[in-house]
Amino acid sequence: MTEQPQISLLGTSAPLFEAPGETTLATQQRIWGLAREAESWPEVREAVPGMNNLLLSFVPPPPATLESLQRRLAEKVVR
Amino acid sequence: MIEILSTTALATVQDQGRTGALQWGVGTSGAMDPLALAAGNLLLGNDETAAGIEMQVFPFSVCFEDACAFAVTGADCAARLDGDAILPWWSYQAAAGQSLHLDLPTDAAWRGARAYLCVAGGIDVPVVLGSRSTQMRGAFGGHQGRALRKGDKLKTGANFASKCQTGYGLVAPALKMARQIDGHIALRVLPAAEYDLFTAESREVFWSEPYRITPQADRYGYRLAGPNVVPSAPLELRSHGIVPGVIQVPHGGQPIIQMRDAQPSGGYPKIGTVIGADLWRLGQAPIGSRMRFVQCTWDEAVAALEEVEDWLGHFRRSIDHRRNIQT
Repeated sequence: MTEQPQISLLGTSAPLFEAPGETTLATQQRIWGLAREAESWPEVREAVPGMNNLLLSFVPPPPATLESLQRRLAEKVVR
Repeated sequence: MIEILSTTALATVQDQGRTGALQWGVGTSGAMDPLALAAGNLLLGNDETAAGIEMQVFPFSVCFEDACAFAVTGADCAARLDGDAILPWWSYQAAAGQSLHLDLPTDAAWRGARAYLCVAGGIDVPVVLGSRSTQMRGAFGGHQGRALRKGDKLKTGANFASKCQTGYGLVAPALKMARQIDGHIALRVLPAAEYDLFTAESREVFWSEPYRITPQADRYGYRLAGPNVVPSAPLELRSHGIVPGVIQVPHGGQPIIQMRDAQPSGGYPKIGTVIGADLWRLGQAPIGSRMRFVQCTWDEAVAALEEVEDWLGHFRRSIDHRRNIQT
């Protein structure tokens, strides 16, 4: 469990976004919503919802920087 | 048609992998050494995404029922066509009825673990969820969703045999792009989510000591043996999607690297992930060999992928050039 949303890397193929706080259905519903939206982002091939987390795999090649993706994910955390 | 002559296990039809179906719990599959398969396809004028046969237990033999251009890439298995020695990473023309035999991987220039038989037109099996790769867990894709058996007959794709020029090859990437530390395979790793939660000593040994691939290593994953890596405090983790190359640390502290047939999700703490550009090295690392992990940044990992793409691109251009001269 994390206090802050966390964005980490699973190698060059996928960043992993983890929601903060307890594992709850409300958070999971937001994860599912985020997955649907993230699938339309140009660099994202697939959005894979996990347990209160979301893996985004890239359309190869991976983007040169992750900044814009990280910014968009961070925006979604604002309650 | 290509007929499988040997009873040897664990050979499968693979392409570059099944991407985009992880959300439904379907893992990547695909060649353990995607570079060898892509290069073999290029040698034959195939699309790089064409399917070939991945072999990992030897000896292995097939018979070409029809004339067929082919190339064997990956590990050097002292291949013979009707008894005549042939080179790895080189394109040949087989006559109808000729047999190809692969022996145990040699130690000649470098030692790999897996060889690929690529044929003009590719191995023609149905595309399932966007790929021809064999999905062992779901028993679909590839040839009837399973490993090949003696007597199996595989179709080749649209036959370009008459147009396909053979008689050239390339230097194995393991020689051209070798990466070693103290004689061990060097793999670049991006730290993963729980990296900072491992003890300082664990992080130190992870980068400085070799890890050996134990006999519990296959297309699903590699169990490693080496210094323990332990978290500073017990970690409670929620399962998430898994991609090939993820280095997980279960209780006990001995790492596991998830490979092509890995489960689609998991929740063990992750110390890092082998970068995409080095997955082919890992796929060719034999059981018993030792590896060293090298910490790398996102920029370095992306540049490494470009280096691999440049290698293929250079090779693609020189083959096109050669074709243009000859036609």
